[in-house]
Order: sequence, then structure tokens, then C-alpha cells
Amino acid sequence: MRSYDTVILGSGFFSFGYALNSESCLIVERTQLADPNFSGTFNGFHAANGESSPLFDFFTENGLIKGTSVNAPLAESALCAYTVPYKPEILLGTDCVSVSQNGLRYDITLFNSEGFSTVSAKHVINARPPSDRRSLNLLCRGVANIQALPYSDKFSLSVSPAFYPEESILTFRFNSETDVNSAKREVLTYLRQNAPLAGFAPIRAAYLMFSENPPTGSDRYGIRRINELALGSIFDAFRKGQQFASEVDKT
Amino acid sequence: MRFHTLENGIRVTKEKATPDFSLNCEILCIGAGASGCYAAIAAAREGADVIAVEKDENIGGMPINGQVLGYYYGESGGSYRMIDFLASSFDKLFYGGGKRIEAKQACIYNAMIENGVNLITGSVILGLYIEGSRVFGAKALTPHGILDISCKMLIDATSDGHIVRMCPVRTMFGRSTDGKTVPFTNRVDLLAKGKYTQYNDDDGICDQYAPVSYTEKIMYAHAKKLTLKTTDSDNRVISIAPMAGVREGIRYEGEDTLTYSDIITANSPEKVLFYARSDIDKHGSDTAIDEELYQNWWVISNLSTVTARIPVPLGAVVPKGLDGIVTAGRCLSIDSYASSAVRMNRDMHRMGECIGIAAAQAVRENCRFTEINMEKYYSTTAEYNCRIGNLHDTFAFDSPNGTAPYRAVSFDLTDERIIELLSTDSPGEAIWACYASDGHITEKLIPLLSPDNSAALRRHAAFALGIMGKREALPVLRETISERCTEFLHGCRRSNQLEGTVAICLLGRLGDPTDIELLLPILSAEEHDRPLYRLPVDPLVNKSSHGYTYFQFYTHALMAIIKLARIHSVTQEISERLLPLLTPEKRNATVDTITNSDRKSPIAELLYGVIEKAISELES
Repeated sequence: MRSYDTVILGSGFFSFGYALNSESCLIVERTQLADPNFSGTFNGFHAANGESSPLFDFFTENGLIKGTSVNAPLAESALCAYTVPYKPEILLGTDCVSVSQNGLRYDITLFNSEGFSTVSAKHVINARPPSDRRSLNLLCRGVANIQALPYSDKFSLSVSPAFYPEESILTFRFNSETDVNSAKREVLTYLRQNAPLAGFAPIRAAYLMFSENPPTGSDRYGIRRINELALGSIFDAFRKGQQFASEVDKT
Repeated sequence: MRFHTLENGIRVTKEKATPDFSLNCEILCIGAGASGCYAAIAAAREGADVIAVEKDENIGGMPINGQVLGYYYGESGGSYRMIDFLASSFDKLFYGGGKRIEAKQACIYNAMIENGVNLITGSVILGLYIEGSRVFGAKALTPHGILDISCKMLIDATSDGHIVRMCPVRTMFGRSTDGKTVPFTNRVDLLAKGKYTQYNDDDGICDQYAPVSYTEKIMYAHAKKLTLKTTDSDNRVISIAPMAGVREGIRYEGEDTLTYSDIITANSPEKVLFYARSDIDKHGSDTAIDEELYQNWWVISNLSTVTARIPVPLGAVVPKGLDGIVTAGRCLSIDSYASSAVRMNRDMHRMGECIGIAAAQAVRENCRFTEINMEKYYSTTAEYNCRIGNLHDTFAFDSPNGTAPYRAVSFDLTDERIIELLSTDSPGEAIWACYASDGHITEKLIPLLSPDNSAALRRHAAFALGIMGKREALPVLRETISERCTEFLHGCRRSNQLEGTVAICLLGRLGDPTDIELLLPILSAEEHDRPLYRLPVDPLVNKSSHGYTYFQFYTHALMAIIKLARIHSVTQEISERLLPLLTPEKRNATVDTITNSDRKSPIAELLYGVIEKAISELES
């Protein structure tokens, strides 16, 4: 059984920041994306003014920062390019079946194309996106005049700027929990009827969804819950991952 | 009851009490992808109670999550056409033109709901329940916890055979010569001058069953995409596919098997599940280490883009000795070369639909899948035109997007026609016709080697003689190699073969020990300095990457030398001469020469693979 100081469930900027600052860390991610949180969602996340870090500089050198906007579709690519040379331990396409306490450590049962395996860790961090999924982002061409769109009793709409000035992010917030397949069907049907009214043309819908207020803190087993979305920008998340690794190492 | 699963890559079986199944159904379809969606929809449409379990949150598989929305061959026909038609009604909604994957996904999802498929996403199968030889159900990890699901028929539509791997059945992976698979691609959707397009280059070879190395490959492939130009909103990356475009996975031993030989000899089984159509779309130009039959078709006869109508046997989707389980998608009982032809989206959609119909029929008739009433099956599938599709010729030159004219191909040629074709720049059909013949034409071909004839005719006649194993071809083959002939054969819309490569390949089968001396200089460090390797390759003839000519000559020469050494029992002596040329330092230098020092590029990977194979042969 392989042993680690920390196993992080869920990959993303926080997880990689942590892993790069930890002596012994394994990231376990069920999708095939190193960052499924931001990159597939066209989330209009922003870098703060006055941002400065090696990761931020890397993004800037590769033309992925414009003012305070970050090029979301290439964020995951940039994360991979930045972190691959450090050889972080990560398993994509891997599910966590269970976590159980074993004395002062945790036994984590994983499942992937090799089947079941078990790893041991002193610390477990759950950085997976919350299961309560309600929002769908749409990348649009043109400034979406959502006031021209009719009311829907299923969702509310908001618009925010995207990376390029000709584009915007249209966010559909559903009133009840939904799944991505149903949500896309609802949204596309609604837009087919109504989009010409609002002066925009969709480019692509997001793959993943997330809610606004996911939980944080530790559960009763001491498994720390991290919500990347509550950490600020991707650079904040990365930095906080690094800081957290330093703090955990001291415990 | 026995529970079958995998632990640390090894199949394990545990005795368990019959579980208290939380969910029950007639057909459990694992995988809601290119094949699985249509299997689930068709089975439900035929009245079966269907549960579909999908690992991703988004259904649709490769066309959706892999962003492979377009079609490359495959036979047209079946319900997917209605889905596409419905999806096209959303086209004008989207900026950039073209069909949008979300629209297709939404239409497929709609069809699943309308037909009553119970869909569970974000879930994986942890193991199977098998009693005797019959599959009774599966254990699933879902967002709502672990569930045991019973079924009368299980469809493994995972494409990578993740369920079959848990079964007591023999599985195979990769090419028979080296165990490697064809490269994968991580597709990228782009806007170029404001229009929707895709980036589709090969990203190297991967093993999707080894999570550590697979992760490494995916991350490297994603990292590489940072180099794509993204300058403004009309020229930018839209999205990198969240699912790797893997083209090949495990195969297994089935109740029947489809082989590459069946395809190219137009052999038809008694019970046909459905007809696929494609060329042998095997990516990867390392033909030097391919099997001889494949080299005969692809290299020597230059028939790489000939499409074939492929009858897939009913038994090829049933794991041998098992009941209650079938596969849908590219994981079936098939050899590795044939698997490059039976994996196209249209065919996967139609295969899924056929299997859904057959599975529902098997449940209704309470019989084994291979024992369903075939008349009834043919009649039902005819209603949806999913089994046969729109008929094409057995063999044809064709293009997937209609850019080149369609032309039926026949290998039943008269001697006069063969000779006529050999004098053209597209002699492929004639060469294959000679290979498939009884050899009587040999006497008519030998005079064509005369120096009075054109160089092209002499070479092509030598190729035809060589493929039949006739040593009379040798003098012209040697000349072709000495001259380092860089003429291409023509006829294919891409991947035409170098005549020099053909000559080297044949010399490796027919030559004398002295021919090793003719080939050795090709492996020398100085060889690449020759101007012929700087000649540009017309992309209309061969869409190859930089260094193609040298790669082909080098790799074929290397393997030809080894073959000759084996045939003439001088392997020991040749090993002592060759191994010093293949040290890690020399290997890297050769790779650097071809790839401009990009040792992680797909072409570098292929070259390292050939050299490793050569070393393994020399040391064994």
C-alpha cells in the first residue's frame, strides 16, 4: 500500500499549489482534466490587480492575462504546462470509493482502470466540487442583452464579461438542483426560441456546473473540505494551496 | 454467486451471497457514449426496461466529450440521422457555423428520456455478479452511494472494455508485433478567422489501463496545447476536449472473431450483426514493424485509403463462454488491424442501435444473444436501416468529405489490365491482384523488368513480383534502393507510400545476405546529410510530418536487415554490428535529427518504438 502525507480528492489550482509545496502528496481526480473547475466552465474568473507570483507571471508570458481577465479555456493547459516539470503525483480518471480512519491515518480506497487499490495518508483533503449543481455557463459572442430575454420560472440569468471584449459569459442559475444534461436541454431550447432577441450568439456551453455556496471546513472525521470557488482567483487558490501545505506540514 | 472485479490491475473473483439488488432492469447498458446511447435508446424503444450508467456527467462519449463531432467514413443509416437532423435545428443559434456538440447531446438526451431510459451519470461499475457463465448484475458507485443492479443482459459500451476486463475471458491489447496501440488525439475546438474548426494532431501512444502513465500522457497533451495560437476573439481556442480521443483499447476472445484478413478478402460470416465501412485507419507511420499482411495492403500495394464494407459477425460482440453480456463499441472480438476500421462514429451509433435491438430481442425470446431469431432481427433492423445502412461497394476509393470522387475498386483483374495499371503511377490494385492470384501472371511480369521499359513500370512490376515472393524482382529492388528512390506511389488521397520504402520492405523478405551491406549505409549517421531528405513532400500526396522520408527509409532498413539476418542465420554477426549503432546516445541522435530534438513528439515516440523492437529482436 502506498503511503502519503496527504491525499487530495479533486484536482484544481488549489490542489496543485498544495502538491507542489508538499513533500508527499497524491491528487486523485475522477475526470480527465487537471482542472475541471474553471477551465470547462468558462467561468469569468479574474486575477486581482497587483497580482504577482511565478504562476501569474507564467500566465502573463503566455498571453493568458488581459488586465484582470484570465483566458479560461487555456487555463487548464497552462496549469499542466507549469506543473508537469515538477512531476506532481496525480491520478486522473480515478474515483474515491471510501475513506476510513486507521489509527492516526486514513485508508483511502480508489477505483480506476486498474480496479481497486488502497493508499494511506496522514491528511485527507476533499477539494471536489460540491454535488449541489445549479449553474450553467455559456460563452457568447456579443454583449448579451438579457433584459430582452423572457422570464423563465426555471432559472435566472446574469451576464459578465469574458476574456475577449466581443464575448460575454451568460450564467443560468436554476431554481432547483439539476444535472448537466437536463440543464443544457433546457437552456438550448429556451435560447433557440429567444436568443435573436438578445443580440448574442452562443459559442459553447460549459461541461461542468457548480453551486454558489458550497460547504467548507472539516467533517467529523477530520477530512478538510476545500471549495476552490471560495478562494478567490485561480492564483489565490494556488497560493492558498501552497500555504496550506506549509501549515499542514507543521502539524 | 461470484463477484468479479479488478484489484491493482489483476482480475479477482470473490464468493459473495446473492446481493439484495437495489435496482432491477432487463438491460443494463454501461457507458452512454457513441454506441451506448443508441443501444440504450433502441433497447428501450423495443420495450425493454433499460438502465444506462455513464461515468461522466455528460452523456455522448467521444462525439461529445471527445469533441469528435464530425464523421469519418462509417456507413450512413439508422436513428442517429434523426438525432443529427434534430440537432441541426440548433445550428443557427451558435456563433461560428457548424453543428454544436451541446445540441447533439441535448437531442440524444431527449431521445433517452422519451424512450424511458433510466440514466445514471457520474457513476462507475465496480464489479460484476456472475453465476456459472451468466452475468446477473453489477455493483455501481454512484453519486448516491454504492448500488447493486440486477439485469438480464448487460451491454459493455465503455469502448475500452472496462467491464469485459473483469470477466473470465481472454483479452488482448495492441499490435501483435509490439503490443503498442495507435496514437491518441486530444481534440481542440478553435475559431479561425471567426469560423469553427478543430485541431486534430496525434498526441502519442497511451495505455488507458495504466492510470499513472495515462495521466502523464494526458497532462503532457494538454500542456502542449498552450502553443496553439490564440491572438484575438476570431482566432482563439474555445475548448480542449475533456476526454482523450483514444482510438484503440482491449479486444477479447469472442464467440466469433473479425480479422483483418476477413476484411481485405471480403469474407462474410453466417450471422451478420451489422455492416461497418471504413479504410484501415491505423494512425502511426511505423509500418516497418507491422505484420506482413498489413504491409502487403498498406505499404506494398499502397491501398491505405481504400474503404471496405465490413460484415461484423454477431458472435464478435459476445465474450466466449459467457451469457448475459455483450459489448457495443470498439471493444469486440477483433484483431488489432481490423479494430482500426471498426470504430468510426457512424458505425458505432449503428452498432449500438443493432445491439440494443438484438439484446431486447434476446431478453424477449429468453435465449442467448447468438441464438436470437435472425429473420426477426433482420426485419427489425431493416425498419431503422441500422444494420445494412446505405450500401456501398465492397471496396472503393472514397473520401470522407466528398473532396475526391468515389470509385469502386475490384481486384478481379485480367492480366492485361494488371499490366496496364502497373505502368501508371497508381499500380496498387494491380499489385494486390497479383498477391491474391495463383501466381500464373509471373511469366508475363518478368519481361517488364527489362531496362527497355520505363523506370516506373520496372519498379511496379518488381513490386508485384516481390509481393508474390518471386526473387526475380531482386535486381530492380536493389537498384531502387541504391538510387534512394523518393518517388511516391499514387492513388490514395493521403498516406501514399514511398517506392523506396516498398523496395526496402520487399528486399527484407527476399534478399541475400549481401543485401545487408546495401541496407546498412541507410543507418549511418551521414545518411541524413544527403539532399534527398530535404526534398519537400507534397501534402496532397502524403500528409506526413517533417522527416518522413528518412524515418521510413531508416526504420524499414533496420527491420529489413534484421529479417535478412534471421532468414540467413547470421543474426549473431549482425547483432554485433547493429547494436553499437543503436546505443541510447546514437538512438537519441537519430531521433533529434528527425524531430528537431523534440524527443517527446509522436514521431519520436514511434521511432524509439521501432528501435526498441529492433533491439529486442537482436537480443532475443
